[in-house]
Amino acid sequence: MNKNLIVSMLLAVSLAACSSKPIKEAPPAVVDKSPSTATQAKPAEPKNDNATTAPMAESTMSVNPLKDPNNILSQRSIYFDFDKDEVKPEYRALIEAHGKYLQAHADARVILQGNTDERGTREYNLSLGQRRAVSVKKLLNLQGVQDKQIETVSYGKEKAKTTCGNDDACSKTDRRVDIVYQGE
Amino acid sequence: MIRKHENPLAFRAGVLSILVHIVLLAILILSFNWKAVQPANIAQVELWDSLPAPKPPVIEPTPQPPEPPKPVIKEEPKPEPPPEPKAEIQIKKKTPVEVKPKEEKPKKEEKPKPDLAELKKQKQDEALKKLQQELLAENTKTTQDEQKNEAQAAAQAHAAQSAAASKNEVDKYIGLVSSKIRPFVNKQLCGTGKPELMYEIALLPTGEISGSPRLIKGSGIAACDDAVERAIRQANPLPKPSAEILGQVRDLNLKFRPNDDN
Amino acid sequence: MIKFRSLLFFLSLLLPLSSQAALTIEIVGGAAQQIPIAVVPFASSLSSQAESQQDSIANIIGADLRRSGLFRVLETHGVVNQPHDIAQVKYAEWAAIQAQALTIGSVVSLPGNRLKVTFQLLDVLKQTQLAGLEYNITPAQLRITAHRIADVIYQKLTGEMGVFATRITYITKTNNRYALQVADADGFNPQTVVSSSEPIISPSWAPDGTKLAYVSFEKKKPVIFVQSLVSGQRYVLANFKGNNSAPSWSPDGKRLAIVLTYGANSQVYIINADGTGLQQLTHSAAIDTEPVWSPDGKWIYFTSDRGGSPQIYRTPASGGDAQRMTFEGSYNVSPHFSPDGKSLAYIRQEQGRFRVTLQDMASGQVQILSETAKDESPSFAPNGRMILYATSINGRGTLAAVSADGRVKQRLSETGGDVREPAWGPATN
Repeated sequence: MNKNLIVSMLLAVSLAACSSKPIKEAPPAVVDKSPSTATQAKPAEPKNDNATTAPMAESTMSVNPLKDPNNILSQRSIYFDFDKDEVKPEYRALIEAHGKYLQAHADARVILQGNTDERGTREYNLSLGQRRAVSVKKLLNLQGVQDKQIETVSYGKEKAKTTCGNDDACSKTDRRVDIVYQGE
Repeated sequence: MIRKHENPLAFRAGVLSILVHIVLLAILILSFNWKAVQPANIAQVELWDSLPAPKPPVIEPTPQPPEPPKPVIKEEPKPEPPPEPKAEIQIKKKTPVEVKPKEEKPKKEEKPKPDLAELKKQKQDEALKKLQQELLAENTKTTQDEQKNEAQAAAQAHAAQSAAASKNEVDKYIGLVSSKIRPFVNKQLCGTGKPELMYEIALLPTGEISGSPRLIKGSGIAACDDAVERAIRQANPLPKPSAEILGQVRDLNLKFRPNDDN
Repeated sequence: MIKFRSLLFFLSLLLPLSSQAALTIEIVGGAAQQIPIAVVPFASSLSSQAESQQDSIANIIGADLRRSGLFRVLETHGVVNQPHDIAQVKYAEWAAIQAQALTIGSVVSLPGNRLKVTFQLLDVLKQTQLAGLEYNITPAQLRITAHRIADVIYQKLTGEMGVFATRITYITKTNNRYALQVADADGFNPQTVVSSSEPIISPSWAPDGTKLAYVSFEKKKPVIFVQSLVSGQRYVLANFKGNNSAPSWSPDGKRLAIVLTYGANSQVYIINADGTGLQQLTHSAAIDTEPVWSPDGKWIYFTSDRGGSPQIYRTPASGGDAQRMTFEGSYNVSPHFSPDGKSLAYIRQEQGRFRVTLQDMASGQVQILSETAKDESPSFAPNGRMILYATSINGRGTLAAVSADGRVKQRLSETGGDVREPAWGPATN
């Protein structure tokens, strides 16, 4: 009888020890994919030490394809040559994928943000960036995506690097359209 | 009255000369108290037989061309102004302008020489000889036009000859005054056009300006007129004029073209 | 016989005695670039502490006049007699240092913590007074009073309206933080109108100087706001689908020209200042942007690349066909009018250099004004003499200014981050 009591007491103690260690609910990690900075109050949430718990705390059980690094939909930028607004063939697949997603999710909304490099004046570059966004939109239209799901805007040169001068290679990443889904 | 042994052209010369004098006198009437001249007339006639003081006659003729000969000058085929001190002399392009009067002057003076020798014999021997030497020293060609103008030029010729000696001085003085005032002229205040303005100032023997500059012709821009007046005042006192210049000149007309280059 | 001729001859000699001989001297050109003026430190009854807290009046006046490029402000320390009243002035001393004009004055304390500022502007050569004024102010108004005095001096001597008491607006970017600021024309007293972590561009002054229209990206897209400088209140003028940008007030302040994209290319629209009554002005398949009103309100000038490359066009403000206005070069953008409507400033790009350029409306003559190479956003002073613009020097955004005749060039020194998008406020009367 004593032996059983001791064993059960030990078990009880070990159980209590286990329960005293709470499982922290890690908040959903803020994945800031879009180039635009967040609003004034930057959510500087402390990341959980327990890295493994993070994905488990995600609201959706399946991985969001828009954010899945393995999914082409997580690629959001289309790059352009200097002074050009034609979409290069290498980006067609990307646009097609987003087009399909949008058709499949009638509630989804995208903002196409056009950007230019630093050369030129601000308002004119705003219009040039807009032209690039419209190029991408037209390709989406061709796939059957309606305008009500798409808004085209431009940041012009506001996000461009200022140190590239006339180096096209350096400023390549400035000349782009970003696909931003509403709610992100 | 013509002497029979004279050059046959002398009649024409005389008539033209008389005409010139009449015109000059007409202007004189309009601008001067006739009475003052009349008595001097008579007195001078008596003095004619004796040598008058050389200086006044030498200087007097010089300023005469600037004012009265104006209408006469226009009638002449050859422009008169260059030898006259009143001429608007471009300071920057001094060389070409100066060359012109020098070319013209000797031409005129060559022709009237014989006449003057006759007329002035009793009066200005010394001065004439000096001038004649100068003239002979210069190489010039006489033209047919010169011959025609000979008589017309006769009246001014003596003046021009006297002017020859002081013309360089006048030019020099003009250059001195212009280069003293010009650095103070602020054309920033004169707009973008090509304005012209003119001030008149009275000179004292010291070179100082007597009284205030008088605006004769404005530029149309008040700030420009004011800036130019300040420039004139800042250039005060102007270079001291020589006695000779002072004798001829009392007022300076300062003509400004601030936005021009030449 | 001879006597008759001699008589006539001698008569001619007498003529000069009668007439007033005058010599004409022609003076062509002028070497002076500036009016030499002395500004004597004002007598002040302010405590030395109060005085040292702010720039002295004479310093502010001198700096204003010097900055205009039309004045050479002379050192006065060497002159023994420092007058504060016209009775104390010994003109010869000031003529001796080559001054043409002299400013003297005083600041006296008044009861109720007020100040009386008196000044006189004197013509040193004519030895007369050109202007004299008195101001009853609060100590906080000392700076603007100094600017007003500088305006009076400037106007009396140049014939032009002074702009030293006006304000300018510009946008700063420091550590990824943007701020729209309004400062005095000399850069002092900057006040932040709005700040954001998103870009702000294209500020535009309402003609009465009480409001600014600007474009903010705080909603993650360009949206036009109108904000009162008096109350700080603001409202959204335009947030249509797509871009909303390039606001430009009409001369009567009742409407604005703006650029919308509506999901397609940039086109010019006109909208009432309260956000109602939207009307499309341009109808092209190209980029039409950067609208500005002509000062007489009849035309809208704008940038368009409908011809293949960006050039400046105009269309009647009431609508109609567009007409091309720039013909030199292949890239002309950002039109801005001089207050008198006679000149158009814009940015011309050639071989990678972006420079402030001036076109005479009547003759069509074009003159490149600036010597910098990354110019943007030219804006005229209300007296039309100076053009303020943004440029980049050593990789940093700076403000610069050039006179409309190209002679005077200034760089406005900045402390801190990037400065861009300047606009000169209207005249203050």
